[in-house]
Amino acid sequence: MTILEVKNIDKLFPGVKALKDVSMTIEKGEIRGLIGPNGSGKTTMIRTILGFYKQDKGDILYEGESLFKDDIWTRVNKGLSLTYQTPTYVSGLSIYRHIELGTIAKNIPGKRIYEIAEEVGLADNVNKDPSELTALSAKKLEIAKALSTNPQLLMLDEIFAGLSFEEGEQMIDMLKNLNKEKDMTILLIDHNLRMVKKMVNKTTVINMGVVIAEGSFDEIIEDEEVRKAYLG
Amino acid sequence: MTKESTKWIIVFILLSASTVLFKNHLYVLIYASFFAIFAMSWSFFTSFSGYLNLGHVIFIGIAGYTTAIFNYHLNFPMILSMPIGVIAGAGGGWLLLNPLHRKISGLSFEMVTFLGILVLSDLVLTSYLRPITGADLGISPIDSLLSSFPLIIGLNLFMCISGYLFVRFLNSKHGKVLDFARKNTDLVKTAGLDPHKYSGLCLLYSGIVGAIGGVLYIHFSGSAGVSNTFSLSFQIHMIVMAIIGGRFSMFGSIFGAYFVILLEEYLRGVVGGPVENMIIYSIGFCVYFFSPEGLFPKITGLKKKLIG
Repeated sequence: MTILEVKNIDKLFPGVKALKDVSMTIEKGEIRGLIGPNGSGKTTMIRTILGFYKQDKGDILYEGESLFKDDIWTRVNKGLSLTYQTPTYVSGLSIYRHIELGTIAKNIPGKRIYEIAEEVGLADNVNKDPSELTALSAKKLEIAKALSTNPQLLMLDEIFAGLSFEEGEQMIDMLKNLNKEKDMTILLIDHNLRMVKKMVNKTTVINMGVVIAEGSFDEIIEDEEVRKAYLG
Repeated sequence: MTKESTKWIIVFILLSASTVLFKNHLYVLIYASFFAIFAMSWSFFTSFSGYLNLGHVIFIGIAGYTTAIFNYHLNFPMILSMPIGVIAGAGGGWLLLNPLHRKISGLSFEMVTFLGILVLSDLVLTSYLRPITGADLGISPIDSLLSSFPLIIGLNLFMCISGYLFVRFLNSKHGKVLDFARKNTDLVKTAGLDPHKYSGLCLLYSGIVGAIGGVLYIHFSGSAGVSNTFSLSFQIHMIVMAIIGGRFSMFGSIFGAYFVILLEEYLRGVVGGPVENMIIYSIGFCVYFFSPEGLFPKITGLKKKLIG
């Protein structure tokens, strides 16, 4: 079953066409990688899917319904969620408060906040200020915030950035677990191809706003155009 | 009884006791209570939503002019014209400001609200509206609320109930959302929440309290004119009070209003008009520069240090 369908979208910024006729289909339960060199349009893509930007052409369908008229919060309440590339939080407000924020819209009971903290390994830190967290824990908080909205499609923007190999491995275990146990679809954007390879079922490669390849990780890594995009 | 409600009951008792102790200055204390209501309701929206509202007097002004028009021109008794004024002031002000705060923020919101009160203050002065608003003469006389014990007790009761409800709102899930929205709107949106819904509600409550204060103030003044409704100096006055007292606390706004009104009263007999304002604004300047959190948190902090 298709959960997300991006149909021929364009996104223009002044002087730049960030996305050009981009299409992508993601099946429910899939872990999809979205890779590409710096400035290729990956972050623009997921920010357009969540509604930070409105596409100039094309449509985005979630479970068969167009998201065009939906605000960010409506899309989140439909089941989309994203983690920020740089951990984003408000200093002075505890980790508990950050997870709680996402539970308000759907009236999710308070005990779920502790369950989420437990699931991501932040149970001992709920009363801490996010600024006290390590790089790994800050990334876990990003996941916890996303989970608090009870998402069906989780979009992860550079979740492995700044993590050591061991920390990355821990993160992979946690994400695979979420995918398996909650049947959560994951769209993973990352530069760390080694980590991406370990996680994804299928990979889409984007370069200069255009999809240049799609397939299994092993297939796309052998693709001539992909090699050219990465290595020049 | 919660700790918060106990605090507000104590404030109410202290303010009521002060009216007995200083019964010869009842008129001044009533003014202080009016401005405490205005400063608190302004501060509630501005400090906790993150939008600097320079047009809070829009609520007060529309409410004030409406009750005056119904009372003076249509001979409605005060008991009827006042609720109409509150509905018009809170509803009209909200209908004007709510769409603005959804569309614009930061300096744009400040400039638009600032210009909004200039437009309204000039609008009521135009010759076209003279038959209704009385232009520069205002609407006078209207039925008056007399300076009396029941009035100040009623005002203080209203102020304390409003303050308590404001704090309840800020401690509720609405307040929690506002805490985040003030500092990072995107975090709220990606949590599946419309930040403007919460700030809009905050604006409405702030407007209702401002509008109720507005109709009472107009009838206490006995007339409705630009100086006690849409004037810029009226708006600045309540902002300075909140800043001096401490705008992140309801008690701070009340403290600031009492401090400024009582100081003004003292200075009036010593230095007079422009110098009096200069001193008040200088205090506001110094407080904001050296202690932006205001005097009330400083005083309570000092008390805690001394008592332990």
